[in-house]
Amino acid sequence: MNENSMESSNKQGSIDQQVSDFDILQEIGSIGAGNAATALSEILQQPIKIELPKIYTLPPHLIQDYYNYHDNPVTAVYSQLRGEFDCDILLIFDRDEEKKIAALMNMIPPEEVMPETAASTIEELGNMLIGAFWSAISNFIGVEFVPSPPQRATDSFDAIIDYFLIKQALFTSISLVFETRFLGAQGAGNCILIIFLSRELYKMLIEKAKEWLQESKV
Amino acid sequence: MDNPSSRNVAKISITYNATIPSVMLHEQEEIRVNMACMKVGNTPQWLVATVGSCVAVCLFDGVKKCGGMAHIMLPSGGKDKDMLPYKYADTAVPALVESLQKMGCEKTDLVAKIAGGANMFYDQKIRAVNVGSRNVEAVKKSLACHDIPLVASDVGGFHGRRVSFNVFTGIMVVKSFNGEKIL
Repeated sequence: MNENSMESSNKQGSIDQQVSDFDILQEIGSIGAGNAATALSEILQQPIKIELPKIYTLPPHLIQDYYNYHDNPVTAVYSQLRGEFDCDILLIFDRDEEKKIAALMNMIPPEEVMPETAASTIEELGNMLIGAFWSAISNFIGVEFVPSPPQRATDSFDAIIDYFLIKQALFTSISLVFETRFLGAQGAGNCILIIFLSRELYKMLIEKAKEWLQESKV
Repeated sequence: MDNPSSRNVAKISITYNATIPSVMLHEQEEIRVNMACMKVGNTPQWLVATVGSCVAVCLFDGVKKCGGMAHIMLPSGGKDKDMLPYKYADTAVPALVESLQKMGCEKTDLVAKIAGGANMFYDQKIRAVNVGSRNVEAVKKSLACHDIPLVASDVGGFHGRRVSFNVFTGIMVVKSFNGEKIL
């Protein structure tokens, strides 16, 4: 489904089809999120809950307001799916979370965590979570994904996300976003996974999932 | 304020330094200017935008004591321009000028201050176009087309900025993780 067909399907009121596709996408996303949560739980040695993934569409310029985090300082780990499915993946942590996670992973008190250690640890964790997420989906639908090496940035939420929204605005008037939240039971590990899905990836995921459903029925 | 999305309103206490006029040392309204939006005003209030690669364009008329801010995302809409003039540098500047003229400002009295246009991440696909610096160039070009002098700017780099602009005094405060600048 390309952008135009998505917009026109909205206009024509074929909402049922889209809801159904979004349900499929939510299910696929849950598989990835479950795998990532397991990885996070093992790394941090504590239970991690996941919120039911959300799929939403919004014009890119409205997404900052949707989150309403504006000036909150966050650390983001960013990766990109390369190739034809090109899409952006962001893992966003509260800035304080970085230190807590680094302390847990390096088994040292939070006050002893050096900024460089915190930075490299969160980048490594982001890499593992993003890898776990795509690996589960890849196994399910039988398509290999190649995420780029992660990059990390610490800044306010709006400043970080505006980079991706501009990129979205360059190529589309409606962003298709997958979002899930991880909640650490013992006060660490809280983060948001946001994926700006490309139309190509969206189409392929739905097609593969439908094929899988057909095969399951047979 | 002629923009509909004015729900992010908060009260802030301004305590920056002694160089700021006393009129600002009071609780003043802070109004957020979201992406692709614009706000104008002529009372002591702060317009605020948080920008990374976007650019906050502020125009001020020192005679009428009024000003406005546009939060632009892209240099130009090209053929696919939607109905969001404040999204693009080439349409935001004239639209902001027009709004200020409706408030009684003279175009010849306007000056501009801008902030933003950073490059937050390395990305092969859009690094080639470096949208942050392209935004800045497009804003400068549009200001020049309208003969509006650019009197201050804080642009580029690799960090976000919280831009506060006082529409009554024309003072712009730019905060980032690197510190604070008053323009």
